[in-house]
Amino acid sequence: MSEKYYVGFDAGSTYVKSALIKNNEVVATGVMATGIDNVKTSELLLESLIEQASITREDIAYINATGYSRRSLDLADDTISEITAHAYGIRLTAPKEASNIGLIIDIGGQDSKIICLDENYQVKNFTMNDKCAAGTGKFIEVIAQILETTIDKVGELSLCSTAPCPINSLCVVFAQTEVVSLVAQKKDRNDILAGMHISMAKRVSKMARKYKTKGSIVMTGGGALNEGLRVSFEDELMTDVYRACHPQFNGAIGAAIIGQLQYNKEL
Amino acid sequence: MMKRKGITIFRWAALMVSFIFLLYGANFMGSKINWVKLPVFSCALSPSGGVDSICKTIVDVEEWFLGINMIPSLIGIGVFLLLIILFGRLFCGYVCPFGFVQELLSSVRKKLRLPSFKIPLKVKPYFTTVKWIMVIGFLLGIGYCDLCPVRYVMLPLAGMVSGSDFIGIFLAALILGLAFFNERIFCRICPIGALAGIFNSRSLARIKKKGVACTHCRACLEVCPMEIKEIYEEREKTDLTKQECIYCMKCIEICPEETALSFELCKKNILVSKRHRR
Amino acid sequence: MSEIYEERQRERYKRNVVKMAGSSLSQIDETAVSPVDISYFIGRLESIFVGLEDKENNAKIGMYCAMAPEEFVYALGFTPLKLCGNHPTATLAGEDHAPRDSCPVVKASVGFQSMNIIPMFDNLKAVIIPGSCDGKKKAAEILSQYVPIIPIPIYMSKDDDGFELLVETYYGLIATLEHITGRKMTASRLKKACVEISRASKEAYKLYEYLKSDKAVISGTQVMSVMSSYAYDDPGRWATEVKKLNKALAKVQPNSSKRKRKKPRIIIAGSPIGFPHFKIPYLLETLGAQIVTDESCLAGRLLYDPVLPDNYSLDGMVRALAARYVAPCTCPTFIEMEDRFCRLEQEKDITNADGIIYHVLRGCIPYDFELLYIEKWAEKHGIPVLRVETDFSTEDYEPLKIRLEAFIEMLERR
Repeated sequence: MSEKYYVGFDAGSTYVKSALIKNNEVVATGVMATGIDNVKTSELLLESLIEQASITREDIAYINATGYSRRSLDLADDTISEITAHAYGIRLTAPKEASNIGLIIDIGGQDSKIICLDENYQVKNFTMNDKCAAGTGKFIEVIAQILETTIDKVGELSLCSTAPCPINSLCVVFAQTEVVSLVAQKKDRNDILAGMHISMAKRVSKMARKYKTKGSIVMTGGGALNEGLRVSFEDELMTDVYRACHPQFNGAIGAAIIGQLQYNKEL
Repeated sequence: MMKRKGITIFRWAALMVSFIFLLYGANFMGSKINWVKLPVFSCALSPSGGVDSICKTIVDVEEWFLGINMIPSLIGIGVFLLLIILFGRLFCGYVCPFGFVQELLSSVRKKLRLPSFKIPLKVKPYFTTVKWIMVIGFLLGIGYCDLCPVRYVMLPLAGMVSGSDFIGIFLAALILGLAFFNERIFCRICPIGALAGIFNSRSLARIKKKGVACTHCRACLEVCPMEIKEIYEEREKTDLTKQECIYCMKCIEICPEETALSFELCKKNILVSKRHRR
Repeated sequence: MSEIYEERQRERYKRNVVKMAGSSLSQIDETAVSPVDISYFIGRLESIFVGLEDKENNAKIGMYCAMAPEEFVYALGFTPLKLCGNHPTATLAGEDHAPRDSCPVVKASVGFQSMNIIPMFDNLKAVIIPGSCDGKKKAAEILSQYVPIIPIPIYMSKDDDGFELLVETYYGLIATLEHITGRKMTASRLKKACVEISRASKEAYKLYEYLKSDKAVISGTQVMSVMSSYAYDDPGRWATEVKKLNKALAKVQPNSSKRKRKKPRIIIAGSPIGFPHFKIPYLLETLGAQIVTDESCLAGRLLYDPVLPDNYSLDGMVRALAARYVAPCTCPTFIEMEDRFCRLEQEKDITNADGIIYHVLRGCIPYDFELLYIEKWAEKHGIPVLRVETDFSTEDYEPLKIRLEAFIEMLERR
């Protein structure tokens, strides 16, 4: 087997994620806020990956980038769209319990995607949110801010709720108003958060339900780190929803895998 | 724009030749081949016989049944049956002299750019009823010849006296008048055509359609003298040889879609529709 | 005060129209795959939307929707103009008259008349508006403020009853046009018009054959802009120019390309795409796909069906025109949907397409209704479909790009 390392970057709207793989195994990962200079961000990330794995720059055979601002990353050898990257990433990050994955639900910072896969894990079809940021990580972030908590805590908090408040507004801005009025009504914070997760899951499930897949459903993206959201999806779709192994890095890992394939084909 | 193509030229030539032959040619041929009875409408003109149509044989049953002409008449009926079993209504489009007269009339109308008369949608179903009444009358033979519109057209055209039954002359004039405005209107109720049409469903001549290639542009229905709706509407079936079809091929000729319509004779592709690029 | 304000407002509209049209025109050449010259057609569009000129000396009669028979107008000696708007600025202006959620084509069509800044669209003797969908029906009412309208009903079904009614309607249309223009319709005039427009139709058919071929030397965006220019040109003159183009296409060699992978072949289906709303074909082709055909009623379907009269009597031709404009029309406004699927299947087989982009104009409900069935159909035939909902604005460029790019990658990896 080759001793080459491959790097994938996922330059998303909120964070730049990176992953280092070797022999189809994730060696190191790194994440940073996108900021205004994502070229510099990506270089810092690459350095930290090299440091983590204690290798040299020469050991990296190929760098592949995905995400919104993938084209601005000068250090990447090639780019690939997020959809394809996520579909490949799942080959490494699929949880053990999930066999034969048919659907990926990716909750990113500013978009959510549903990717339908065929038996060979190739993209069969996909849908993305096309109207606004409802059903994305941004939604959680905005609501968390109002409720004076942070995005990494909302999942656990929401799981404590027994009587979720309904949140009916689709739009982030309108939902914000709705949440403010709920707060004014002295509703429990956990209930509001649980309501928010249900509302999100409902919205995204609408897109997911269109694909009647027999395979299992896996969540990726930063949103998958949120346990409350995952449970809401399970309740909404009435089936098992698994979390990918490195959910946040799924795109970056996918990009790295594609990089590996492209590099080896070129050899 | 539509230009006349090979098959139409051939068909007109065939109709013209058979018209001249059946009306004037029988006298030269004598009685050598008078056992050939064609499934078309044309009066048996020559007393000595010759190639002619089946109608006299069927109508005048009492004349030959158990008489001296029984054997050739039976052979004639046999030939007639064989021809319609093998080819259905193919003779209507290429041989029938009355069909030729009707087409000639309507082509004059087209040249004069006069509007056609379309049979109202509500009236159309009655044509089938009339057709089968005609068949019964024809097979029973009683007095059919006296009213037959073909007789009052064909005999004068061949230079003979046709008789002077008022109703017969009136019907003939009516049919000719209608045929001027509606191509081949008599063919819709023609009893010989109806009999031959029964075998259209099994004959060797097939009109085929590739449903998915059809765009439903209605051109085929607009040119169809028999107004066979299925040629336009049907998508599922591939074989569209309807009882009424006289194989005039106008639909195939006008169809603008590659391979949407085709004509098969003895399972061989003879004609395929295509886009007119020039 | 208000007059000065309105004058300034018109100037602002003008600037916006010119800007958008200009940038869309400049993108067309980027998709070129050979050095073939389509400057005549680009020039036409440019003179109308950028130069704001009116080079047409002849009197004009406008028409909205591809179901209006331009042969009648042409036969009476007028130049038929297809006025369906696709311009975002016009959409904006149209929002003063039509609800925000209505279809952008309707808004833009209304908008162009209310802005009153395109000289080509001025001095129309009348406009013909087929009532093909609800949007068009309401547009007729709004447009009647600006220009004499001739609404013609389009029947829900394409069956025999519907057809005979349409023939009657077309006779009525002839009578109205005769009254408005003071000229008489004769069979020979109509035949001449039919022959002339069928020349255009035949050349368009050939042009699409070049597009569908394996080694296409013209891009889909270019073909669509050629088709778009037909809407504002004299059909005879346009046909002559396309004939020249077709001759050139027969000889021209494709540009050398460094591309290793085969370009995925894509059909654009769904709502109409006309100038300057070319972002979908433009994005597709710059992202490395090849458009093999489209079924837009402003491009691929505009001249596809020939007029095939049984005879050249006035009646024969009116019937043939009624048949040509409605019977094979795949617009989802009719209750018979089978035609659409057959058309798509046929195109898929002829062009050997890898995927279908189903374009839905936001607010164009009939096409969106169809999507479900198209998806089922596509599943059955194993061809991927991507629904793209958009309008004439350019704000969704980036999200669109992501979708289209991912779709292209998906097709490449199948």
